[in-house]
Amino acid sequence: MAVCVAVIGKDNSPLYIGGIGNDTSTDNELSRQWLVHTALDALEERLATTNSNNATASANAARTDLRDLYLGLLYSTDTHKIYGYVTNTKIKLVLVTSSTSPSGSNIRDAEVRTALRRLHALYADAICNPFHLPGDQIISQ
Amino acid sequence: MKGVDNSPADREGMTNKPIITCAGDWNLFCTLEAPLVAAIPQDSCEWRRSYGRITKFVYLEASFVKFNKDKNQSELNLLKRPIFHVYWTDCVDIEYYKTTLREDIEGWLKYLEKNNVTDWMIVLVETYDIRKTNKLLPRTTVLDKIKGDFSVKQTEDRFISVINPIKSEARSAESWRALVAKVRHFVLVAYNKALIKFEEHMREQREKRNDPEWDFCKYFILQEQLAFVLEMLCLYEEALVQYDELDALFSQFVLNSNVAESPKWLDTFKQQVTSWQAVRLTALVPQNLRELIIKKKASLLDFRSYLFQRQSAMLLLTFKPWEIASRCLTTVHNTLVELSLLGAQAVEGAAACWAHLACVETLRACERLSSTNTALEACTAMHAPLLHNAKDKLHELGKLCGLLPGSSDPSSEQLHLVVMLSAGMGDSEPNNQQSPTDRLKEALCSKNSFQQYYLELAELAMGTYKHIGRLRFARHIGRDLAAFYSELGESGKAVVFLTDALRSYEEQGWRDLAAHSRLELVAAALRMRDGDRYTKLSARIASTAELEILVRNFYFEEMMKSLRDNLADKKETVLTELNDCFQIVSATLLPSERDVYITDNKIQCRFVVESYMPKDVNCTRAAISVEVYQDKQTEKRTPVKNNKTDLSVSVGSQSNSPRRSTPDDTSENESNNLITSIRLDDLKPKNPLLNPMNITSKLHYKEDKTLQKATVECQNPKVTLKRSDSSKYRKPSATVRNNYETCFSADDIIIKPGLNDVTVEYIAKQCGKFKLGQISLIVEGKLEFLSNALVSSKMGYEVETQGVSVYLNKVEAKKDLVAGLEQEMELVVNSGSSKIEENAKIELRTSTGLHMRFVDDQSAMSRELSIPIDAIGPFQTAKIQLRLFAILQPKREKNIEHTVWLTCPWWESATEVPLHFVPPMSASWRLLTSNTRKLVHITLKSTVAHPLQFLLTDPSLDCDANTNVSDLNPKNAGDLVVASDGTTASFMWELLKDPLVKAGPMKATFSVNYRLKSAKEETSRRFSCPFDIQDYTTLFVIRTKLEPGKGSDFCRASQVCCLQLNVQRVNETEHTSLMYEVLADQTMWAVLGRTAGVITMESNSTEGQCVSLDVMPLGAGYLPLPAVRLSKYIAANTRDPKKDISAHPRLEPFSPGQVYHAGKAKQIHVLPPVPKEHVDITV
Repeated sequence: MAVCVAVIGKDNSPLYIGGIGNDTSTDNELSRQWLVHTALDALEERLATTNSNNATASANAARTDLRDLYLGLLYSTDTHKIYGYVTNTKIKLVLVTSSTSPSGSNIRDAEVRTALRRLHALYADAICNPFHLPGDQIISQ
Repeated sequence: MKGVDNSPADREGMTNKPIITCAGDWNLFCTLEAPLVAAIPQDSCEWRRSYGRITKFVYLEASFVKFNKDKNQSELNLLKRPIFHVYWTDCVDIEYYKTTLREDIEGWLKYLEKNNVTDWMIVLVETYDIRKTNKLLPRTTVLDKIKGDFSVKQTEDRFISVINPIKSEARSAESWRALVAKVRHFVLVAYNKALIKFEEHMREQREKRNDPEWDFCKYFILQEQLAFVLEMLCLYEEALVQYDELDALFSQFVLNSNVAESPKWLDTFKQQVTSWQAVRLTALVPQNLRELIIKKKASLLDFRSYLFQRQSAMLLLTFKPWEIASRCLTTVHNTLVELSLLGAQAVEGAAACWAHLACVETLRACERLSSTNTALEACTAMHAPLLHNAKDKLHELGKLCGLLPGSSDPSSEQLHLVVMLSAGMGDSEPNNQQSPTDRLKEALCSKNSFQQYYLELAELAMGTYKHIGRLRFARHIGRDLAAFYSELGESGKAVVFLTDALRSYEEQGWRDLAAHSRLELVAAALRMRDGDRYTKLSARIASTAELEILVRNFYFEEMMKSLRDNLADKKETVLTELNDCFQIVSATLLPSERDVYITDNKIQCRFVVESYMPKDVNCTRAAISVEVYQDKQTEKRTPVKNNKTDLSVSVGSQSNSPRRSTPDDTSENESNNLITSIRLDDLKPKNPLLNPMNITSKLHYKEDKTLQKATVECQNPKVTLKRSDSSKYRKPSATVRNNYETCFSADDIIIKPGLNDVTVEYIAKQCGKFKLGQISLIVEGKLEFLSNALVSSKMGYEVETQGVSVYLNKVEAKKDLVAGLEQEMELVVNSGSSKIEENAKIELRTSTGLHMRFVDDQSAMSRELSIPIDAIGPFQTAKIQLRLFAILQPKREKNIEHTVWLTCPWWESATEVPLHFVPPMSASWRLLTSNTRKLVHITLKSTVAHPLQFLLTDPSLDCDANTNVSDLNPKNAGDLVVASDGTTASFMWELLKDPLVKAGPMKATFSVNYRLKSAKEETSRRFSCPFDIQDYTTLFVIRTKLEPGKGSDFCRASQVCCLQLNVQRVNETEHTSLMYEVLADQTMWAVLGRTAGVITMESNSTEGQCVSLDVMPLGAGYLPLPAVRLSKYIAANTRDPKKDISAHPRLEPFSPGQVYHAGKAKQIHVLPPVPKEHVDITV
C-alpha cells in the first residue's frame, strides 16, 4: 500500500509531501522524506537516459508525445518501493509503497500507474487555482 | 565406456546432452562413436519449431547409449529419456538381411512404435569398395531392401547409408557429413516434438497448482528440465524465461499465502533456516541445493539461492553481468519480504548475512566479468545500490552482534550469535582467494575489522554513487557515515558529511531534512565542545518552524545557556547568519524634519524584522553599518547658473562653507539614486511565471479567403521562455563583519517572535552620501547575527552641512537703495546646523561715502560697526536692523556703488557685499540766447524707480565771481515737487554779464534743498549739480530779409527774389574771416548763383556786412526763410607755414551761443505765381 506521495517541483524542491502510516522508529515521515529525496536521483537518471535515447529519435514532437510520463519503479529498499512519474513541465510525482504491509507487497505496476495519473490530475487541479503561484508549496486541505 | 550417463561430470556440470540410443550392431557403432560425437557439435543446425516460435541456429551435442528395451524412460523425463534412436548395421548381404537382420529391425521398430517413438533412423554402414564403383550399381542393395520393407512415405529419409569413415576416410566425407546433418536434424525434430509434448504436460501440471496435493518442488524440477534442455541448446534467454516463470509463480504463491490459505507444500519453506551460504555465481548447477529441493528439504533461502544462481548462470552465459546486479537487489528484497511473510524461523541476522553475501558475491561476479567485458559502465551503475545494500546489511549485523562503535562490548549472547552466523555461512571456497564469506566472518569477529569493512563498503558505495551522479544517495550514505563516525567519536569527520548534506538540502528546499541534519550537527557540536557552533546551531534550530515547539524551546534554552556559560568570557561576538533566525522585512530611513539630513543631527532608520525564535530575545544592540556611497557614474556637474539673485533684489552673500558647493538641483538628481525605503520582497527576482503572457488568437486565411487555420500565439515567448539563471540562488552569506565604526544603532531591544519594529539612529558627523550596509543584531551581547540583505540595495541618504549664513538685506526688497536718503537694511544671521556661541560679533565696514548705524541708536553714523549676535541654536535666525546713508556727491552720475565688508568670527576672510545706490534726482541744463542775453534753464527729474516725491526748496545757481545771475524764478510759488512718476521741476536764471569783461568759460553750480514729501519731519538735504558753460557770448547776429524782385511788390513763386543777408558783429572777436552758407530747403527755395561766400568783418567797425543773393521760392504760402550758417573761415595758410599744417582753407563752426540768428523763425508769404503785380511781405 502506498505510504507516501510527493510532488516535487522543477527545481527539485518538495512542493508537497503527504504520508500516512504509523510513526515508528524506522517508518516515519522523515524516513519517507529521505526515500523521496534519494528517489530524485534515480528519477533524474531515468529522465536523462530517456532523453538521450530519444535524442536519436527523429522528430522532436514525436518524442514528447511518445514519452510515457510514468517512469516505473525507481528503486526499492527492503521495506519500500518507490515509483516515479514526471509531468511534461518536469514536475515530479513520487509514490512510495510499503512492501512489508500485507497489501503493499502485491502491488501491480498498472495500479501504481493509475494512482500516479490520478495524482497528476489532482496536482493539475491544485495549480489551476488562480491564487496558487507555481512553485509554491501545495497545502492539502 | 564413453557417453554413458551418471558420469561424475553430470552431477556437477551441465551434461544434459541429448541421449541417442544405438541398436543393431553395437560393435560397429563403437568404432564410429568417437568421430560422431566430435562431429555433431561442429556446426550449427537450424531448428524449426512449431507454434511460430523463432527459428534458431543451435549447436548440438550428443551422448550415445546402447539401446535397451527394458530401460525405457518415461516420456515426461526430458533429461534421462533417450530422444533419438539409431539402428546401425553394416550388412551388405541381402540374404543375411532377409534371414536375420530384417527380423531384428522389425522387432526394434515395433518396439519403438509401441512406445510411440517416431524419432529413429537406420544407418547402413558400407565399406567403400573400389571394385564396386566400377561396376554398375547392384539392382537392389540392402538399403533398398530395408526401405522397401519398412519405409512409408514420411519416413523415407530416415534410411541412410554411410561409407565407413574409419576404413576409407577420403571417400566417406560426403556421406558422413550427410549422416551428421541428418542426426542433428532428426534430433532437433525429436526435441521439438518432445518439448511440445513436455510443455503440454507441464501446463497440465501447472493448472493443477491449486490442488491441495500439488507440490511446487516437483513442478519446479519438472519445469527446470525444460530450462536444462534449452540451456543445453544454448538458448539461455529462453532457459532464463523458465526460471523467471518459476520465480514469479513462487513469489505469487508466497504473496497469496498471506491473504489466502497457504498450500501445504509451502510448509517446506517455512522450515527453519539453517544455512545462509553465499550464492555462488557460476554457470554450474549447484547440485546440493537441487538435491535439497528434490528432497523437499530446501529452506526458503536455499531455494532462493538456487534460483538466483541459476538465473545468474543464464545471464553469465549471455554476458549480462549488469542484469545480475540489478536482479540481485530485487531478489534480496523479495526474499527478505518472503521470509517475513512465511514466518520462517531463522537466527536473527541470518537474512542479513545472506543478503549481504548475495550482494557482495554479485559484485564480485560482476567485477570478474566486467574486467573482460566492455559493459563496465552498465555494471558500475548497478554496483552502487548493491554496495549500499551490503553496507546497510553489514550495519544491521554489526548492530545485532554489538560491533558498532559506541556500543558496549559484545555480550555472550552476541558472541554466540556470531558463532551461529558464521556457522550458517558455511565453509569458504577451497581456493586461496578471500571470499566475501571469509570477509564477513572476519568482520564479525572483532570491532576493528567490522569497522574497517564497514567504512570500506560505505566509502566505496559513496564513491560509486558519486561516480554515477547519484549525489543524493551519496549524501544519504554520508549521513550514515556521519552517524558512524559520531559513534566512533570522530565528530569532526561527521560534521564534514553532515554539513555537505545540509547544504544540499538547503539548496533544494528540503527543509525537514535540513532541520534533521541540523539536529545531528548540533549533537556533533556538543560532543566536540564547539561552543560557537553549538550556540549558532541551537539558535538556528530554535528558529526552525518545521520542528516541534518542544524541540525548539529546548534548543532556545540551550542557546541561552550556552551564551551564558560558554561564550560569556569571550571578547569577540560569535558571528552568524541573520537570515537563519530572523528575516528583514523592510527598512525605511525616516525623513528628517527638514528635507535633507544635516550633520550633527539624528538620522533614524526603522526596519521591520521578523523573528523566528520561539521566545523573546534580548537584543543588546541592533546596528546597521554605514558605508560611503560611491557614485559609479562620473559626476557631470555642469556649471550651473549662479543663482545668487541679482543684487538689487537680494543683497547678501551665499554663506555656505566653501566645501559644500554642490548646486541644489544636481544634488537632487543624484540622491534620486539612493532609495530611502525598501521592502525586501522587492529585491527577490520576480517570478517569471507571473509575467503576463501576451497571447493573441489569430485566424489565418488562404488565398481564396477560406479559413486555413486558427492559432493561438504567444507574442513574447522570449520573455516567458527565458532561461532562468542556472546558478542556484544562494543567500549572501554575511560571515564577515563590516566596519561598525559609524553605524545606526539602538541598544537593548526585546525582539518578540514575529514582526518587530526596530528603530536605530545615529548622529551624522560627516556630510556626503552614505548607504546602508550590513545589519547586525547582537543577542545577549555575544551572538551576533549579520545580514547583508541591504547591501545590494542602494538604500542610503545624503548628509549635508548647513553653515552659518549671513545676509544683508533691504527691508523692502522691491525698492532701490537711494543715495542721499537714510535707507533701512537688516543683517540676517541664520545659524544653519550649528549653534552660534555667545559674544559673537560681526564687524561691518563700508566703503567711503557710506555710513551706517543701528536703527534705534541715535548716535552718529560711522563707517564701521560691530554687531553683537545673540547666542542662538541651530536653524534659528537673528535679524539686526540697520540704517545706511550714502552721501550724495555733487556729481552727475546714474549709479553709486558701495561695498560693505562683513567680518564674521566663523569665516576666515571678510565677505564683500556690493551695494548699489541710485541718486534721488538728476539735473539737466540748457543755455538759451536772445540776441546778446543769456539764460540758463535747469530741469530736475527723479531717477528712482519706486514712487517717491521730493519737495524742493531754495534753488540757487552759483557762478564765478565775474558773472552775476538774476533769478527769474517765481518767489512765492511754494515748493516745487519732483517725483519719480515723471513730475519734473524747472528753474531759470539769466546770466548778467559785464559787457566790458571778456567772457571766459564759466563754472556754475546748481543746488536745491530736497526732502521727502512723505516724511515731513526729516531734515532737508541739499542736492547740487555742477556744470560748465563755455563760449556763450554772442559774437555775430545774422539778419535775413527777402525782397521781391525788381518791379514787383510781392514775392511770388517762381519769381526771383532777393535775399538780403546782414551779418553784424556784436562783440569783440578775433574771427574776422567768415563764411556764410545758405542752407535752403530745396523743395521750397532755389538759390540762384552762389550759395556760400566768404566775408571779412572789419575788426573795428560794428557795421554789418550785407550780401544779397538771388533766390526763387518754388511754392506759394508761408515759407520759412532759408537758414544761413556762419562758420569761421580759416584761409589756406601760405604765409605762416608753422601755424598750420593744412595748405587748404577750412571751416570751423561756432559754438551755439556765439551766433544769433535773428531771422530764424521768420516766414515769408509767397504768393502764387499769378500775373498779379502784388508782393506782400509778411514778417
